[in-house]
Amino acid sequence: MPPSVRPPQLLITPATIALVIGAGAVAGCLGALLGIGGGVFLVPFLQFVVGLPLNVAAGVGLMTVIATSSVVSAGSAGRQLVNLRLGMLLQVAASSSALLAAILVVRLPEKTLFLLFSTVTAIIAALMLARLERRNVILDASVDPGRFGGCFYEEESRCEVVYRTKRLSLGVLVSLAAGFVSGTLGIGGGILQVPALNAWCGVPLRAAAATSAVMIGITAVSSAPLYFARGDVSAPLAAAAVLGVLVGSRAGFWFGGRARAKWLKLLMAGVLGFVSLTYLWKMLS
Amino acid sequence: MNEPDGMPLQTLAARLMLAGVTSSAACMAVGLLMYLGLADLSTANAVVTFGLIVLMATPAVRVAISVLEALRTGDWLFVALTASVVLVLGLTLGLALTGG
Repeated sequence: MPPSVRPPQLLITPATIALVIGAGAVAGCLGALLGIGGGVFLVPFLQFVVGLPLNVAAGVGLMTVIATSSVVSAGSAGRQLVNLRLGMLLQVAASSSALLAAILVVRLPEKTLFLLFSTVTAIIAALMLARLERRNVILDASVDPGRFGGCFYEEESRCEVVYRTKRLSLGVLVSLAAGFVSGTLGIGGGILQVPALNAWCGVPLRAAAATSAVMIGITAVSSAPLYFARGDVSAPLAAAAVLGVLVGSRAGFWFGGRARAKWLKLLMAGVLGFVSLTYLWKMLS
Repeated sequence: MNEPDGMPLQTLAARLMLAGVTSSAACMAVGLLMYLGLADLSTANAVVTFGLIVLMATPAVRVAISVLEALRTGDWLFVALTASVVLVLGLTLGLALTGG
């Protein structure tokens, strides 16, 4: 890292800490609701509003992703939905990629990353909108879910539902991309995994979100120690963001159990579109 | 290692993650109050940093328990997958400790 990229001194006032706590709460709420971690909202906020360089914003973002992931996966409501076997298959790809990304990030131009990120999120937002009414569950609990499939009790159908996975190689490829995005931008890789698992691999949205919630924390911790060792994790700002996210994610998780899948998809597509435009604008400016 | 009957590994994992995130949040809250209260900044920094390290260890614990879950199923593919994740996390930690 050239010395010129690092800020001479981060000015952290009580007002900055309060601002970051508030932003963390909003980010945590939306993140838990969508199973994508709060980082996706917080990192742009820390860049644009607080004025942190990307590496420091990403370092803080990774910490909030770990916090959101831990809280969501410790919650009893989503536990039955987690497909650990599928998650671990994808995790090998996501973690390896996140580690590689954390090593490479100091050598990559920022604008390239912004453009890539903007493109990927725009594609996925379009994909989500195109598949709003599609369902992946089989309403017969006796169906064999296969090696990486699963079953859970679904509130909307009021019965045990089974799903089989398909096109797992696509899931692995997306996990590689998700790990890379997590390791370079400090946002949860779930922003890529949840829509892809849902649309391409046949995993119901809630199972995809619950599995992804466990995964994003492990993916984040595959690169976070390197950020930490480089001094890119501002301790007071990370603490402020994490505490905000913890409060916000409780609200988001409570609300998530009550929202319908269609609205979750619509909301997610809107979020992805916003993130895409944000980074496109950042790239062009 | 014996595990108590009636306490599935999933439950153990959830409890440990909750304990990890709660204790790290407590450290961060105390450390942040010390920052704002203009206490000794190096102590405040140490307390917050300890909280961040506990936070980073929490998903690693989840992976460790996943290895046990995989071993219990006796599915070699599941065991190999979880072991690979442990390996990557070990590499990350090793690189971080040796300065990246």
